[in-house]
Amino acid sequence: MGGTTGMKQAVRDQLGRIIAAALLATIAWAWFWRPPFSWTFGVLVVIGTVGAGIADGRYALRRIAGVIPVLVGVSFVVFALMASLPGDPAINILGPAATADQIAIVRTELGLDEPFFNRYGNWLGGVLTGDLGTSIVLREDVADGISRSMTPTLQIMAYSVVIALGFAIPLGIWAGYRQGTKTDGTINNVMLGFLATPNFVLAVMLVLFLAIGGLSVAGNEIGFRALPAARYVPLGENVVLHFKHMLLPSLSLAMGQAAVFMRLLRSDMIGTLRLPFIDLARSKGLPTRRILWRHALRPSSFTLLTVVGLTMGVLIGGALIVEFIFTIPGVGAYIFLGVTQRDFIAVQGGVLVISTLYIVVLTMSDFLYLALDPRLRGREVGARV
Amino acid sequence: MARARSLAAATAFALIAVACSSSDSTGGTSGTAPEAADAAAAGPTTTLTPEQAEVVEAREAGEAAGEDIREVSGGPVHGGRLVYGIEADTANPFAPYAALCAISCRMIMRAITESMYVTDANGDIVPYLVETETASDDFLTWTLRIRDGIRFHDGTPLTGEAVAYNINLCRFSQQVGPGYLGIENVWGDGQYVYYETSIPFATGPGPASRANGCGFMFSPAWLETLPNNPMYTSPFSPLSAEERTAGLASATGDPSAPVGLGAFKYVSYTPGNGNSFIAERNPDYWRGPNGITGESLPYLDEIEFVVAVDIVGRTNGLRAGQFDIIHTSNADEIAKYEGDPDFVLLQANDFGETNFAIMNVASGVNPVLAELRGLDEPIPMDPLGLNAANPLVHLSCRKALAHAFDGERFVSERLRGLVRAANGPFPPGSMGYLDDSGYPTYDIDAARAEFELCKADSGQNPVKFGFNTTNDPFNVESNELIASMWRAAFGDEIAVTIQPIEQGQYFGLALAGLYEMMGLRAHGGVDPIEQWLWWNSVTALPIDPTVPELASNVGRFQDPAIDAAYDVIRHNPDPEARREAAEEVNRAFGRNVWNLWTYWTLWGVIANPRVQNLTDLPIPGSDVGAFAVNAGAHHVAQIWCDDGDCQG
Repeated sequence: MGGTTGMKQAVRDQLGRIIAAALLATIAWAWFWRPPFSWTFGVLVVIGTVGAGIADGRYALRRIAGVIPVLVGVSFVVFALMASLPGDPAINILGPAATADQIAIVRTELGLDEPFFNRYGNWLGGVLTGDLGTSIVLREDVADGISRSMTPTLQIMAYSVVIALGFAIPLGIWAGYRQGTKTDGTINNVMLGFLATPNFVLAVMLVLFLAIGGLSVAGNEIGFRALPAARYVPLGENVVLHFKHMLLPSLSLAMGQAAVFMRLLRSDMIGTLRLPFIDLARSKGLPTRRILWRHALRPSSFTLLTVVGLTMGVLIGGALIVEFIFTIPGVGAYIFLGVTQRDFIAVQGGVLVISTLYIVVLTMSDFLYLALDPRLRGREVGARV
Repeated sequence: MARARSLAAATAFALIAVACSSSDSTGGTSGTAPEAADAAAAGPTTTLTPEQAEVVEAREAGEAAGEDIREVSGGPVHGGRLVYGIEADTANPFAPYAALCAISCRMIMRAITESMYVTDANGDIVPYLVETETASDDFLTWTLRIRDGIRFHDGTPLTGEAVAYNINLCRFSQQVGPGYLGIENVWGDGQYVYYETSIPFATGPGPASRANGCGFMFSPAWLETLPNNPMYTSPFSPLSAEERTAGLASATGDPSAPVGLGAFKYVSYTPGNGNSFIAERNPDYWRGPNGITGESLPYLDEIEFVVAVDIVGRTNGLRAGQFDIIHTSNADEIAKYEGDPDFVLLQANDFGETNFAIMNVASGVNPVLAELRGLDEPIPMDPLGLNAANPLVHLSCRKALAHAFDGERFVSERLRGLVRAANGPFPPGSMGYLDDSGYPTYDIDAARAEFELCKADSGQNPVKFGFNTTNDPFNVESNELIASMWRAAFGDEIAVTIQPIEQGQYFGLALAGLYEMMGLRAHGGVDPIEQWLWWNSVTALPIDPTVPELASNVGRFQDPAIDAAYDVIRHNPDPEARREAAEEVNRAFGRNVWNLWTYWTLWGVIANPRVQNLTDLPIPGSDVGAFAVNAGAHHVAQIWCDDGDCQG
């Protein structure tokens, strides 16, 4: 009996994994399997798929099933908001001197003469097959434009998280371990400084100091010309140049997040280091480094991981500003152009993709959560997440 | 809070400095800056060389042409890739009949194709792709001979038919077609192009854009494939309905992949900020080793125009080496580079654009337009009364605003005093410029006296109107300053609403007449004939959204004195008579205050010193070279880089 139940459970788990993987693959296909393919998004989806496979299959299935209505709701809100904007898109396209006949033709071409729900249904149908319409201003498929623009944005976000974690993890561990000492105080204050500095201010200061050598202190010009201040080089074109160009934008976004991550990890580390198993490890004579990195870090990192997922929204917003400062052709620049040129089709597509990306990333981070904590697998975790 | 942020930033840099091993710090040279004391806070203090001081002097006289006056050691070198940071992505679609071709567009156009005429260093529009031009005695027919042996990038030849096809697309275009009013027929035969006009054009065929816009030539084989080709889409097309349908059905070409005949050939274009237009050397360029002139142009292997909308991003990119050259009309940025030995700065305001606030004065009727259209009754200018409540239709209101605007304060506070407050449409050094045009000067008492009349004429108190501006923060703040001057003069009796409008819609509203007042930058050019389209009664079309017409005279004013002066400017070949007529145009603007003039634009072209010969392009068959920097645009075929490497 128990064996049969276990087998059913195993089959369900396996099925859940397959469906989860298939759904993720579908999202990837629908959104980005169009040239140029956004490899960064693909990497994110692969991480999520692996996470779903490692995690409880039923939970993964339920989680993904829960995401679908959210995505549909988001698409509806985005569409309804764009549809409620004042002004006639046909006049925006043709200009104020358009004739009634010309306006009627364009409205028919855009489907604007159909009822709202028909328009929404048509648009959603197109979205599900990767068709986001054609940009009014740029005269290209919105899916192509966003796919192209998304790559640098995702790269900045990904590199920012890596840099932020690169700063936050060692500093958080060390500050937690040295709680209450001068070292702890110094690390806390420095990171607080980064937290208090808006990323666009940090971006400008970094450019002055590291790119154009133009930081003026007490009348003296100091600084370096070590890094680029503008433009984007694709990874496939030149790896070294790519990372040189991405360093300052990523740093600008990362440092504020690093402060948040560091403080969270520090707090959890302090709690973890007081637990009995750490005392046991100490009593066995394990080296401090091993205790901190092998035994204390993982149980201390759950809050951090959740926040890393949640912080994607902040990073997307910050990336839009940083892209403008560094002249990077990311999705922020794409949407900005759409907004200023009243290109509602481009804006609609851009906002939907960003919203979807945010939801997908949050889901991925939940999967990763499960992958990291074996205790949670096979348990009822819906209430927690 | 500011102190806390400074501390935070300082802490941040302390950390980064520790991590950074490079020590490539630089500093500006020290000394005094006799002409740019105000700029000292923004950039390194400088000592101007005699040449730079000359530029400053020319700028102050409004006669800075932007020549690259550097001493060059060694001759031109082939090779290199130039990266040019441009301010906007305005060229797409690239066909002249559809492009709103501003400065960035013109730079790309000058790389990938060339124009029938160019402006020479004397400020004359002279034949370029055109070899000779002849006119009938009555100036009603013109015959142009096109240079033989020039080929488009697709290998097709530049013939009279090809030129005529280009011109006719512009004639039939709804967007730029009004510029060809009076030109009845254009056709080509062999290397000849023929114009027939209904009114005499004494100074050359085509009222404007001969050296820009529709003067740029593109391959008809490419143009025929474009879905926005006016032959297929315009109501003015001479093609039959069947021909249009068939043409449109086979029009599958890419409007963003232009096929010109210039020194550089299209390679790729990706739209949007941070993206670029890339073009490579054209081995069959007519002025190259395989061309007809025996020259060696172009020198560069490749040129990339990168859209960098934000001036801070553009200038940072130049300083950090991502851009080799940029352009800007931002006086703050130009001031920072003045006297900076690390960069080459060209300054140009000769024949430049004028900044102004244009006012919608549509009211009454237009008898001139009615006569042109063969109508018995004059055409009402505002049949629906859309502009009836605009107080600016009254001269007293316009004069009051002009008297209350302190131009000197404006250029000092907003533009570092690098530019001059304008008193008319023509900048110093241009035909028609006058020291005293009769335009109202800053005088608060006179302003208040006129404002009393304004209130009576308009029946309004407070006097209300909207002031449109683009949504660029600099422009919004500038217009707020202007409005604050009016509020200071008239108090609560004036109600000005600043209305930021996005760029794509901005000029469309002007053309349709749906505005009260709006800020514009326009009227750059070497000859007043180029402005006829903007200022004559024939192009002052009614405001009527039910029968919409685009009026290139966006202010919709009718001024018999200007119409009469333009009869001379357009049709009289005598230079002195034309100059006097242009001055009369200036006076008419002063009397009637059709526009509120603010300042004359200064353009800066800034490059790293490895980039050589920014402006000195010879004109085949002429001792005079091309004009250096005209309204921000310059030629690129003659540019080379030290050792064939622009980055070093």
